[in-house]
This record gives sequence, C-alpha cells and structure tokens, in this order.
Amino acid sequence: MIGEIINVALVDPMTNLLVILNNVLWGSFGLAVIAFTILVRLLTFPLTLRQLKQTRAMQALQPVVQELQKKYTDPKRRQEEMMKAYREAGVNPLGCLGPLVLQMPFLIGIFYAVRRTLAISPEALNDLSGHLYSWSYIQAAIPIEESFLGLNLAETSFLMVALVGVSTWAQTKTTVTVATDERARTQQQMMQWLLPVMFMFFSFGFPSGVSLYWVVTSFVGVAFNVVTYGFPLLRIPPLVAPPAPRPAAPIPATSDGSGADRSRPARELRTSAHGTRRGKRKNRRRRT
Amino acid sequence: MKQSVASAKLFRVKQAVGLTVSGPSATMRAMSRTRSLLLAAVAAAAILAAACVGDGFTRPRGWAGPVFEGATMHLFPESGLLAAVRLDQPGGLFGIADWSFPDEDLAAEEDIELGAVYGPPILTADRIILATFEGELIALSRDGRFQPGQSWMRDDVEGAIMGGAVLAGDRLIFGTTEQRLYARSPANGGPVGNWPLEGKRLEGEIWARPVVSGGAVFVATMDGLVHAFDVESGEERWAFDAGGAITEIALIDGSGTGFQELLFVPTLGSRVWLVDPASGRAVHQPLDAGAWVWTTPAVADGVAWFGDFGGVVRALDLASGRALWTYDTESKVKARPVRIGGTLIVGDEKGYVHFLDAATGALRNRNPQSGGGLGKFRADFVERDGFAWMLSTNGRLYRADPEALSVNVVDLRGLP
Repeated sequence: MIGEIINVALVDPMTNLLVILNNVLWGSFGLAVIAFTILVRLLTFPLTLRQLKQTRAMQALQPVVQELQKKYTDPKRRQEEMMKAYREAGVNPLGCLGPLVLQMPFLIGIFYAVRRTLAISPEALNDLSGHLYSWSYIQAAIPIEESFLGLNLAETSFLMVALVGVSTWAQTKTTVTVATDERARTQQQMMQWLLPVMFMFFSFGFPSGVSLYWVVTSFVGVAFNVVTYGFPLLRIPPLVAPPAPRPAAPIPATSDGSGADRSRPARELRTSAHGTRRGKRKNRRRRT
Repeated sequence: MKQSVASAKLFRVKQAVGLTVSGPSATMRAMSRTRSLLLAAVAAAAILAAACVGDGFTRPRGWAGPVFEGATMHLFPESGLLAAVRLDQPGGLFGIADWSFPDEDLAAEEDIELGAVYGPPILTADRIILATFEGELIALSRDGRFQPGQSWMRDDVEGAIMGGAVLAGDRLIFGTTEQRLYARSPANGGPVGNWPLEGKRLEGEIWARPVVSGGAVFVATMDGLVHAFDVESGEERWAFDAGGAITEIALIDGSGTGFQELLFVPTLGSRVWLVDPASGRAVHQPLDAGAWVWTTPAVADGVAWFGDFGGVVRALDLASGRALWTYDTESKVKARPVRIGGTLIVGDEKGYVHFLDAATGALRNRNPQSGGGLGKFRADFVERDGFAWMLSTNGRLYRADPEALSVNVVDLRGLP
C-alpha cells in the first residue's frame, strides 16, 4: 500500500518526466537526468535560499549568542535567552535542515525511476509498461538509450562513484556552517569527510544515472554556496549581499560590565579551511 | 508570551530527550545532535530504499514456455533450472521429472549457472541447446547432462540473449542486446561460413527471437526495424520499418490472404503489422492497438488472436487486417494464447485464464472466478493433447481444459 502510494505520487511522475525529457533532449537519457536535476533544484530553490539565509543570519547572530553564553551561567536561562534572540532575529536554528530532508524523497524517487526507466531485462521492461502514462508520446519512446558519454547509465560506474565523492566533498567544503564550541566544530569537520564517504558507499549500489543526479545536484549546491557565501580560497566574494538580520533585543550589561561587542565578526566555520584558523582561534582563546 | 511558553516547553522536551545539555551553546549542540540524527535517518532511509528496490523488478528470471517432445515436456520450473518431465498419461495431471539441469551434485555441472532463459530450449537429434540471458550458449546431451566431449558451452557473445535462438538448418541464429546477430554451429557453437564470429552489427538491440523461412532469417530490433537475411550468405534481403520497438515477431500461416506466410510484427508503439516475408512490404495498414503489443498470436483459419498490454484481446482478420472483435481482460496480456476447437484460451498478467468464444469473443468462463490469480502468465501457452499448458512465473504448471472450461494444476514430482 505504502509502496503503491510512493509509486503513484513520486516515482511514476518522475519516470514519465524523465521519458519526456529524454524525448525532448534528442533521446539522451544523460541529458534528461541533468535537466531533471536542474528542474528539481529550481523547484526547491525557495527552500534552499531560505536555508542559506538562515545560515547567514545565524552567522550574523553569533556575537549575540557568545555574549549570552558569557552572561548567563544558568543553562536554562541561557537557553531561553538564546531562543529568544533567535526568535527575535527571525532565525530558526533547525531551519537549515529542511532542504536536506527535502532532497531525500527526490533521491529515493530517482533511484527507482532511473532503474525502472532504463529497463535492462524483460521483466523490467514489462514492469515499466505499468508505470508509463498512456500518452503515445511517452509510450512510443521506449526503449530508452542507456549510454551517455561512454557510460552505461544503467550500471554502476567507478568513475561516477568517484565523482559522487568529489562532488559531495565539494559541497560540504563550500557550505558555511556555524558552530560556537569545539565539539560542534569537530562534528562538522567529521561530517565533511563522512558524507562523501557515505554517499560513495551508497553509489556502489546505484546505477550511474542515479549517481549522475547526485553529482549534478551537488555541483548546483556548490554554485549556490559560492554565490551566497563566496569562496575565499579562490578569492571569490559573495555575489549576494548578506542579509541584515532583525536586531535581537539588546543585552543588558553584565555585572562585570562586559557588553555585547556587535562589531566583532561572526565566527564562520568553513570546514575545509580549518587547520590554520582553528589554531588561531585556540591561540586567541589562550591569550584571553 | 505564548512563544516564550512554547520555547520553554520545547526546551523541556529537548532536555527530556537529551537534546539539550548544560554548558555553553546548548542550542548549537542540540542542533548538531539533531543534524547527526537526521543524517543517520537519511542514511537509514537510503539503505532502506535500496533494500526495498533490490532486484525486484529488474532481476531477470526468464519466462520460456514448455516444449513437448513425445510424452516428455521440457520446461523451466524455476529460474535457472531446466527439467524434463514425463506425464503419467497424455494430458495427465501428474508428471515426474526424468532429469533437471544443472545438477549441483555432479562435478561437471556444479559450477554452471544457467540464469534466466526466455527462449524455449532447442531440441536437436543429439543435443538440447539453451541460449541464456547471460549471453551463453549451452549444449547438453539428450539426457540433460553436461558431458565433456558431447556438450559445449560458449560465452563469446556480446550482450544478453533475450528472445532465445532458432535453428536454421545447420545454423543456430540469435540476436543480442549489443545489437549483434549471430549464426553459430549447433555442433560446437563455433562460427559458420559467411557469418562473422563476432556477429553482424545491426542498428538496434535485438530482443525478439528470430524466425526462419525460405532460406531467410527475419530479425527484429528495438529501433523498430525488421531485417531479412539470407541464412547461407548472410546478406541482407530487405528491411522494414515498423516505427516502434519490436520485442517479438512471428511467422504465421497466411492461408486465405494470398500469401503463404506472413510476418506478424507487433510493436511497443502500439501497432501491429502484417508483412510479406518475400518482399518485406506491409500487407495492410497497421492495426492500432492503443497499447504495447508484446506477444505472438494464435493463428487458425485466417484469423490471428492476440492480446496487448492494455488488456485487450483481438481477433485479427488476416485478409482485411481488421479486428473482428475485442475482449477486455483488464490486465496485461503477454503470453501467446491458444485456440482449441472453438475456444480461445488467454492468460493475463494477474494470473486469470479466460475462456473465450473464438468466433465472437464472448466470455465462456474465467478461472479462477474469484480471489487472486494463478500467478503471472508471461510464457507462451502451448496446445497438446487437446489441452492448453501454461507455466506461470511462480513456476507452476497448469492445464486448461477447453471443454470443461476449467484449469488444473499439474503435480510435478522429482524436481530438486
């Protein structure tokens, strides 16, 4: 029953869209997958943009957060104040996770859709017939040519496995995350390597068509990240102006007289460039 | 105020489930934990998805129909297993296996993986030849054994053999998904004159089993072409464009049409052509079925009966090229039906057997009448001793009685 719902609501539309794109794009299934991926990214762009804005807003809010941490020793009170600050600045600390969750149905859907569309056995072709809409434009498009740039999109390719790793790594490398303590930082640094390895592992069981989807979606993600955050390693500035977060409530002066230093730049964790920066942070901490 | 209460509640909930910890930046830690949990969930979902998909719908299992030879029936009771079954009597409902192949207890066969087979076994005077999805040709002795000296196996073929092979005199002819048409010697699987060892390269994948007549072999491709080649010289005689992928073709009796034989060419483009095998020209305008046609017909008295993937069974008048009647099974029809007397017996994808009046298409009976079907019928039905023999995808053999309008399961014993 659940499988049927997933089929009708997700996999079948994807399968038929892939077939249509294949027809439109000169019978190239590889181009169809690429076009499909870009369509998906465009459809989910509002959420992606929201995520990027949230991350930037959280970055901008870090001085306030750090001051709250210094000011309140009671964890409960500190937590409340931080939540209040986030709320007043219009930031949802978990808001950046939405797009990641949203990607999963598409990944699972395209996994089914690619395998189904590139029917490699009589059983698979027989099965496909039951999932195509009864539009002759779609029906007559079968069979789909599975080769693309020398790759068989129906089979696993080591080249695509490697590209999945590289593209996922590139996306995590260009993703700006916010962390205020060592533990979170370590976790995020671990994720930078864990995610590519995890997805490479998965892609060993993927047809190359699915891997192609992941590679393209990752590189589109890289492009979004570079446009939003820039890429200091290559001296690329952000092309989009940072958002001005709504100011959080002013923090009353503490008993020791230390106030919020809003002019201090937010701590930005670009997980790739950790080595020297972290050393500097540590040194700074030692000095203080 | 409400928000503040909600925040406090949220905090308590997080604290209760351990998402919030004391110390600096608890919110960030909670976020990191949530993110980690989410990533773990993502990983689990991906693994689950991969497991759910598995090889379920892509794994080739084969669906060749049974082949009779005297009182013995050769059939594939499961994927990768060929068996010779002797019925207790003609039309009997009890059969015992004389042998099965491969037998893992035999040293010569323990490493042989037969895999999926879609074409019927070819029975020659001294061998049983199988063409497999894995692109292998396997020749067994008549007692179903792989015996050094007598048997042979060839894997020097590019691509999968989908439709099986056909024997044309001293040539074994078959096509593959790598767009190659091969002619090999049935004696040893080696090359035969005028046909290259690496096969003839065609434009499209070959899924349909070739058919042979009048010194020509007719082969259809998934790019919609039917080619006629001279069996001896290997030279092409003609090509016909059917305009849609072709997964099966058949050579049928053309009595009453002015042609001795006709090529029945169904396509996934939903059309059915009747083609003159001598000239390669269409005899009529194509019949528009409105759904994929992936089957071969039962033919008698100038009428061809077949079903399509829309579930519609048709009686096609070969002389006019028009449908005489249609009947809706409400499920895909892949298996070739059989006509016995005045009854047309059709099996569908849901496992129902329909007994139709061959002249009018009126339903006489459907079996089973209620509940689920008998398995999926994809292998061609075979007529023998006045009954239709049907192998379902779950490996069960059924016998349909056109007089009693009933279906019985055949009890097969002695299979591994």
